[in-house]
Amino acid sequence: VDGSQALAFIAGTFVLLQLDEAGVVTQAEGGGPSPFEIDPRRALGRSAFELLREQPELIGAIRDALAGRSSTASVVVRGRTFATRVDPRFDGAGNPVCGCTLLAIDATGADERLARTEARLAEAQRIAHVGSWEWDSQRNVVTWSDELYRIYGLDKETFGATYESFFERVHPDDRAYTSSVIFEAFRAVKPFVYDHKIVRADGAVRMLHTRGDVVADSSGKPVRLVGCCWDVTDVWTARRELEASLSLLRATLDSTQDGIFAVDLDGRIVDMNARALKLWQIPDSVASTRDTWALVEHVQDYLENSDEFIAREKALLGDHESTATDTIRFKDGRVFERYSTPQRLGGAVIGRVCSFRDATERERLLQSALFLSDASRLFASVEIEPALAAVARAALPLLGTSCAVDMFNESGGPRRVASVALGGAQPACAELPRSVLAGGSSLYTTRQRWCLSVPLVVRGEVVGAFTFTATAGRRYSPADIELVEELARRTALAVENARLSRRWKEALAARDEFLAVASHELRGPLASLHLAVEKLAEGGEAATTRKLAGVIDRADRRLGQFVEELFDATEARAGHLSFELEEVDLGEVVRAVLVRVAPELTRSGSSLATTLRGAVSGTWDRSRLEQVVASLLSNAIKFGLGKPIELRVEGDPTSVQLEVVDHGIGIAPERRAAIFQPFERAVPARHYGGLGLGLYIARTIIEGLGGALELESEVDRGSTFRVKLPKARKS
Amino acid sequence: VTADGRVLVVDDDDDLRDMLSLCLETAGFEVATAVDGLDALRRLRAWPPQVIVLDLRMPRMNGVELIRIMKREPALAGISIIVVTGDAGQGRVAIAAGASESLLKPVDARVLIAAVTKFLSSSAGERATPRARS
Repeated sequence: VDGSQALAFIAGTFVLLQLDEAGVVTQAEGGGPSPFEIDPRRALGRSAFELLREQPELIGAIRDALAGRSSTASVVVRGRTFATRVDPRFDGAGNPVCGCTLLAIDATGADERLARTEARLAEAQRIAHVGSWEWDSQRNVVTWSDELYRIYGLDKETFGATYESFFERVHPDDRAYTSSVIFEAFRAVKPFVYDHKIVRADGAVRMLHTRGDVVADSSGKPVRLVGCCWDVTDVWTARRELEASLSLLRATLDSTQDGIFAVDLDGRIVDMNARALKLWQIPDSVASTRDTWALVEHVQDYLENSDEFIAREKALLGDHESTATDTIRFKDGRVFERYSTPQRLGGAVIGRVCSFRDATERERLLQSALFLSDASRLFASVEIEPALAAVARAALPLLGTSCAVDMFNESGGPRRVASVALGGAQPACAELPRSVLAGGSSLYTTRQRWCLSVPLVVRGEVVGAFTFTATAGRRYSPADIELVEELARRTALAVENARLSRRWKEALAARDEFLAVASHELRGPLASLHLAVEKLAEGGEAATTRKLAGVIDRADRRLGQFVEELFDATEARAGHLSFELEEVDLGEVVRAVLVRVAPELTRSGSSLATTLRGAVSGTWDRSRLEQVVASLLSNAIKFGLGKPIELRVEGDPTSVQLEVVDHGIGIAPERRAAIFQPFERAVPARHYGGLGLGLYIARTIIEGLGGALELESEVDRGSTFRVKLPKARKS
Repeated sequence: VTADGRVLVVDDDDDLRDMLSLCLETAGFEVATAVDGLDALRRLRAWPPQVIVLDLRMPRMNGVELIRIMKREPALAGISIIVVTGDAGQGRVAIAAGASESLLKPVDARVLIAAVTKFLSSSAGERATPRARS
């Protein structure tokens, strides 16, 4: 039945007869004026051959149908045109024809009505941009509505009107899909809906939305596809763009280092990323509730200040206007920085988006830098030991619950300079690991706590150590160790500076002392000289004049001796002391000196016992040796308290040894090194005569001759100076 | 030379001690000597002078130590002390401890005699009253 017949059928001018195999009417229906003057109600049981005897075309068609062939015909009866169709009927059990069906529809004027309807349809399609199509699959004829041609940008001449020419216009990407949709529709004989792209004649790609259905013949075999479609490119493009931005949003959320939560005004979590859950260690069971307060309840136990956090959460949810920045601190030391801003949709606030990042490392670096700068400032501003105590306090709790600083004195014994422990914490343990004493950092446990000891190394020498005890459960990281080692380096520098500064001050004090002594020593003979010259100028008796000449001569010699001593000390310090080597008998040297010091010895009240054993000659500088012996004896006389003095000289084949022993005031251990230094004297408060350079010059001479000058002494028991001298200088 | 012209010279330098004595004796004072503070303390009791000419840097007992001891003993506290030193700083320490005057070495005989004379007359004045009474 074509379009016009359908219209007639709908209009009601038709007759439908069912005939058995003999042509007898078994069923009859009709509407409107009866086409062949057949009253359907009277036709039942009568032979169609008789009823239609005036219509030979239809009689032939019935015979054909009963023979198994369908046919259509157009029959004109009394000026009216009827479209007829006769189809054989089958009983479905595979038997031959069991009858036929005759349909005759009054189609008079139908073409005109159809044309009008089709024009209206085309107009509607043009306005709605909806095209319709039909594909007669058996004849492979595709029929498009005018609008569909416009959608494809084609005209009827160019379009081949076959399935293949349609398929050619399908975008290559969608051809396989199109084939499968159509195949499936044919197979299932079901309506279908799908989208596919086409390439228009002008090359533009458009997306079409198609709704179609399958028309089957009376045997159920699909024979045609019909459908309509319209251009959805704009919707499709918009949807693609939306999908792209959603995917970009998702990818952004998933790739950022920041944790992100989006919360609506009721506190429901609208979105979050995996990073957020990981950073805050939120289990899926909590996250899946999508409830802000469930999350808060989960994390609050781990926060340093949960009350403050909860108050802030409430304030943020109620605040629809401001952006906010805050810091969230966890008990385990993690620090998060959070930034949040209201989420707006069409001008209205619909929630808040928070992003937060792990600022722990940055915070740690900041704290470390602040701490180191504090430490440097302390070292620069106060004495080393108060500074160490302050640094130990400043190091907590950054580096644990307790800090101790040990310094080793010169004999290597440790001394605890500072020990600080936070409330209730145990002080750091006093025992230092062996590796620290050897100069390496050490990580170890004491009472289930991690401890870190780092040595203070000054010029390759371990002078002390820092010891930290960690908070329970904390283990020192490489970054912590690095921080303490940096602290130790700065401390070592400060310790060295303090030592240098102390030595510098001591050297300055020694120099001042030397200048005062030198001034006094020079002024003594000068005063005698001055008075003697004044007296001499007055004139007088010869005896007085002789006495004055003696005073002048001695003053002159003493001043000359001081000048010599200063010169020698200067030369010795510059390493320029000169030697005139010859064969020298040390016994002779001693005898010569004894003559010189005899008056001084007599005045002191000390006795002198001299012993000489073995051969005591060698290749030395005679006058330099006299200087040494004189210096040692003069020293013994000055500090001998008038008690006996012994001088022993002993020779063996290669060397000699000279000892000067007194039983006087002695020298305290801490002063023993100093007395050999220039500008130093063991007892500076009293006057013992001389510039105090004698022992320094003596030692320099002995060492210059390849020997050694040693000292043994006990306070209030006296001192022994021992010279060991090789008989010949080793070359 | 009166009994009031007694001067004790204390110095560990033999020549300087001799020269100081010589100058003062020539000027007419009665002079005794000591080699250091301890020696001076011994002589003071046996032979009390009106003025002491005192060196500061000496072995056993130095000048400042001697001054402090003298200032604690009423019998010795009135004796004038002229310090002769090579160290101006020590001179100030001695004045603070109770010395009457500090002279810097080398000292002119004239200056020394003038100083001794000044303190002799002042101590003579102090003593004049009790003697006049007796």
